[in-house]
Amino acid sequence: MSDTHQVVGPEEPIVWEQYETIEQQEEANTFGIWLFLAQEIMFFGGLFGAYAVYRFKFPAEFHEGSLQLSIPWGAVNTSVLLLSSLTMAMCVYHTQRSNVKKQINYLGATLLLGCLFLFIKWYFEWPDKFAHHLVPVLDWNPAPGTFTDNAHAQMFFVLYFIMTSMHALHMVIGVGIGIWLLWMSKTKQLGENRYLPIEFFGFYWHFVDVVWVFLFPLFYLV
Amino acid sequence: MSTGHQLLPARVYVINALVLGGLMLLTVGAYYAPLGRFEFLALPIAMVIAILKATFIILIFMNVKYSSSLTKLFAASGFFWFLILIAFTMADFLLPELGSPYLDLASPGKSPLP
Repeated sequence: MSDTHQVVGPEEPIVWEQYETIEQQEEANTFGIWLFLAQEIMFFGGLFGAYAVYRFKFPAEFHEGSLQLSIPWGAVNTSVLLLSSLTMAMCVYHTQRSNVKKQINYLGATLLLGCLFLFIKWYFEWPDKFAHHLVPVLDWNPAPGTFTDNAHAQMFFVLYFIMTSMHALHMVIGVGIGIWLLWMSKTKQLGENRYLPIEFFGFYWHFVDVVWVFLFPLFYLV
Repeated sequence: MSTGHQLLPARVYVINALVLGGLMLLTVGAYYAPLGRFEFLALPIAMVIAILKATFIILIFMNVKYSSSLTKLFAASGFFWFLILIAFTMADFLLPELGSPYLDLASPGKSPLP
């Protein structure tokens, strides 16, 4: 370590009472976050299972439904999330090296990109569905001839709205947690000896990105 | 002082992001590519590319490649569970009547009920 290197956060890794070494503690914590992500896989897995069934049953309507979605906006959103994954990884990188300023900047960039994703969904994509009366329960009145069978096509949009809403809710929760971590970073609590909070938030963020990676081809590119 | 965690150089993350961007372009390109007789391959191709993207995100961004075997096992088991869900659910739809009294190939149309 050079003389000018400032350690941010704890001076040395803090080992909790029930663990013998820091490696054991980190291993246990990592195991715990993956347990949580496994639960998230179950959460979205059920929805993807429903998608698989209805796509198999109504292939024509699923194709017609996907024509109503905007591929350019979907591609932009995918790029935004991929970029946010990169900035999140860079934030973890700088936290591991106690670079507070860059850590805060990259975390801020990640959250801004997340908000951009939500903004695009909220301001461009979903209102367009309302304008075309393609929202089940709230405003379902597609133009005649758009779909082979309106009831079947409704299932596509039910799944579209439920799955993208659940994904967006995860993004909103992520942004909320990220703001808390931003505060922790600003108050210099996270550094090379305490970066697991940022790393595990990164895992959550990357997982939400993985879900979108599957949502994009399954809804927009049928 | 360091916790012994594997620290990766920044360029690994940047290269990974570029690879993912390329795969995203491939996803969109594969959608528009004319497949002709192989139209039925559109979904498998899209899913293979999506699984590749997910693999890169999980291995590099989520550090699973440099993690312990326990972490690798747990990460894989979650997705393996999802595979079981899809496989058995779709089996119910693709093979609905296997082993049922309604599948009497020798005498089609005959009702199994007395």
